[in-house]
Amino acid sequence: MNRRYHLAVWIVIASEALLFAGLFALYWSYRGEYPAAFSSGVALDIHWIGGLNTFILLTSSFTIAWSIHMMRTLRPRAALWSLAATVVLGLAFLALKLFEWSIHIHDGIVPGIHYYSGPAAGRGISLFFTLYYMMTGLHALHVVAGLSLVVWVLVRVRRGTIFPERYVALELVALYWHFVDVVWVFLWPMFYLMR
Amino acid sequence: MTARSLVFTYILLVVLAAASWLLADVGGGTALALLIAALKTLAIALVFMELWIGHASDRVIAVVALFFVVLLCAGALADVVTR
Amino acid sequence: MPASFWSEPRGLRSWLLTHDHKRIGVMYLFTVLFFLLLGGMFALVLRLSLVTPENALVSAHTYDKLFTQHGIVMVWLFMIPSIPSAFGNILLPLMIGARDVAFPRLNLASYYIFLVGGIVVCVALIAGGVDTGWTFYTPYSTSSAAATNWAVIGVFITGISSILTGLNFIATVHTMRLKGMRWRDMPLFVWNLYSTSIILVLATPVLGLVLLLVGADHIWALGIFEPAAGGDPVLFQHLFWFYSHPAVYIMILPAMGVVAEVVSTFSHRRPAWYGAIVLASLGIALVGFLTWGHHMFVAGMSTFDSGVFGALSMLVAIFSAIKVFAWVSTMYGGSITLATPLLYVFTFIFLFVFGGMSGVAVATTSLDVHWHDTYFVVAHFHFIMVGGTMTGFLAALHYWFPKLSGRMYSETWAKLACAAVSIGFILTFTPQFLLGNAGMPRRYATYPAQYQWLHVLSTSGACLLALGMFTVAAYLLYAIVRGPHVDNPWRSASFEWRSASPPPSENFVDVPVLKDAYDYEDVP
Repeated sequence: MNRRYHLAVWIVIASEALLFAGLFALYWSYRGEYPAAFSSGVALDIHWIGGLNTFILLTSSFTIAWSIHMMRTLRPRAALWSLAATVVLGLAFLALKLFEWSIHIHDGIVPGIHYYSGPAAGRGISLFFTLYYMMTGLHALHVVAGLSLVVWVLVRVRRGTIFPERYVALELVALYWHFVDVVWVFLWPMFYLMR
Repeated sequence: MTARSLVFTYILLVVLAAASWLLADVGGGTALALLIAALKTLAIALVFMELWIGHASDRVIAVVALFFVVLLCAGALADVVTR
Repeated sequence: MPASFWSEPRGLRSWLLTHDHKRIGVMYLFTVLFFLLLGGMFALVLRLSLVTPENALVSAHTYDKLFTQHGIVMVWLFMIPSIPSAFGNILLPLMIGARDVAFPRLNLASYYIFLVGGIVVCVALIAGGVDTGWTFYTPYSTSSAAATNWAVIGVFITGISSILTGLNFIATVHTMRLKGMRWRDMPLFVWNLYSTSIILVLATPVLGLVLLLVGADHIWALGIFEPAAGGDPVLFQHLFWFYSHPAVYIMILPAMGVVAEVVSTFSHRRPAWYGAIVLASLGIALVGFLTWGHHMFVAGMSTFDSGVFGALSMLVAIFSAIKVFAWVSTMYGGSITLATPLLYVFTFIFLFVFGGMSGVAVATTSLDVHWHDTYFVVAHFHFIMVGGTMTGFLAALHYWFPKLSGRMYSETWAKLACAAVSIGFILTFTPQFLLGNAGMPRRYATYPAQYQWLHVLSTSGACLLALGMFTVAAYLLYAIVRGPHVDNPWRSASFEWRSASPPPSENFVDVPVLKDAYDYEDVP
């Protein structure tokens, strides 16, 4: 029975990976066409936020994995705290993201052909930032979805409908959350490090 | 997964991320950054997502999906750079 | 005898909220048949308008809408779901001895999602129509009329349904096979559905993304494919065809599965080269992903990519050929029953071979430079899609009609209709190879007068094809109410025939005992 759900979630993850694939393909193709513009685009991004967000998501992957371990070792209360930590970290990620976007918008960096090339002119820079918004935006949507699922699991642990003898839902949600982390593992160097 | 493997993996991830950050301006940065990202992904997938101890079919799904992601990127990129 | 799934449980609510895969499959069946009719109507008007060189019937702009909408409706609302979502849903659990699919409620959801998507596409048709071609190429699609967005959204929604269906099938095959049924015991239709499902879950998301981009670009001028912003329309095509080429294998693999079953049953023989067919099915699913660039030889793609994609495209022919040889081998030495399903299979094999060969032809880069965007390509893909998938669908319809209804149709009328469909098809599309080779571009509303005779032939064929299809509908509908009762008229050994016709709600009364799905030594 559980096998069915595990398999289904892995298939969903595979599907989602292919959803992002198109955007990755666009990024790498345009980077191939406009290497200088993309490099300068990366230089313009806010590096401390990117780095901090990476640390946050990596930690949240650890905390949700830890909560499963706590469940397995018959410590549901510790699992609950670990899940709560995951939620807090996820919210922190989103808050930082919104903060980051607001700074960009304030500086005139917006998606689309209306992008007013400020400090770094040249073709391709608007493509960089359009992709930046699209990819981090789509990723953020997935963070929201994943976070909703984590909250749902947290509530069920609190209520006792997820417990050490039956915690499949927790495992499945954790899988999805790790996937969301993996996507960011690639977005981070692509938009913040490779200059 | 044991508590120890979880903690070790987390530490590894943070170390790799830090390395990535510090080496960002080194020459050949793109390849290095992607390599580190790949290593982090492997760690998350094998340990946190339990692919190492899980079912073979889950591993197959993950590998196949990865293959196709790379395929699409490669096909489009190859076009652009060989025009 | 238990009541059939049609009557038990009773009431409209029990249908609308059903979890029964057979009822869901039936709902899909009637829905796709409606869209077949709609897409067919567009085609008929289109072909009628081409009877005169100056196209007295429709304006050029209307013509653009006709071929666009024919394509959109046929591809996403008929071809993609037809065999897998209708027959796949009905048959898959029966064929592996299960009582339902892995996720029955998800299955129902996938149907309603499909329905909503279809309705949204219809909204597009009413809201001014779509004229971008079913391929939505940028930059026209991102700047054309508002109805394009509706079509894009509608197709996106049907894509979600596809993914859910594929997911359900994969999970079902992995976890719900009858105890003792190994992978190598599975019927070939199941193997083909499984291969199709792999494509469904991996390719469709890319379509989803690219449609999202088109819609977003339309609304917010993102300019991601806009040359003025440094964008590249060819990249749209990369993303679009990365889905749309595997999509044609979504269309053909289930049809091939039907062919395998029909060939086996009507030769009263175990399928020859079972293992090879299985590998070929998975092989087609894989290789289908490696070839998308062959749609872009003259789009501005690099010569390097053109060369690579051209070479890779040849691989599919190998797997397809293996299958054709296997089917023919199965029939050779078998005890043949020349009934309508097998006649459709003959048509399938004949047309698929020619369609496939024309595919190898257009995959040759240097030749495609001449044929791209001409009627030659149109003929090629119709040979495969209509000559292949459509014929497979008709074979499935006739093969499993007794299973679903418990009744038999008139074999005489069926054979007549088969002849009309087959001859009508050949008459419609063979002239198009000649037209294309002579240089007539596709999607053109008018043409030079000297090509009129080919167009008249083609349109005549289309009318005959349509007549054949309507005849099929007529005698099948008649048979539903007046046909003689039957149970297993084909004396098939396959698992689905071991339950009553029509089956009861829970598929099997007692837990089925594992038997060989192709054991014809046992069945007289």
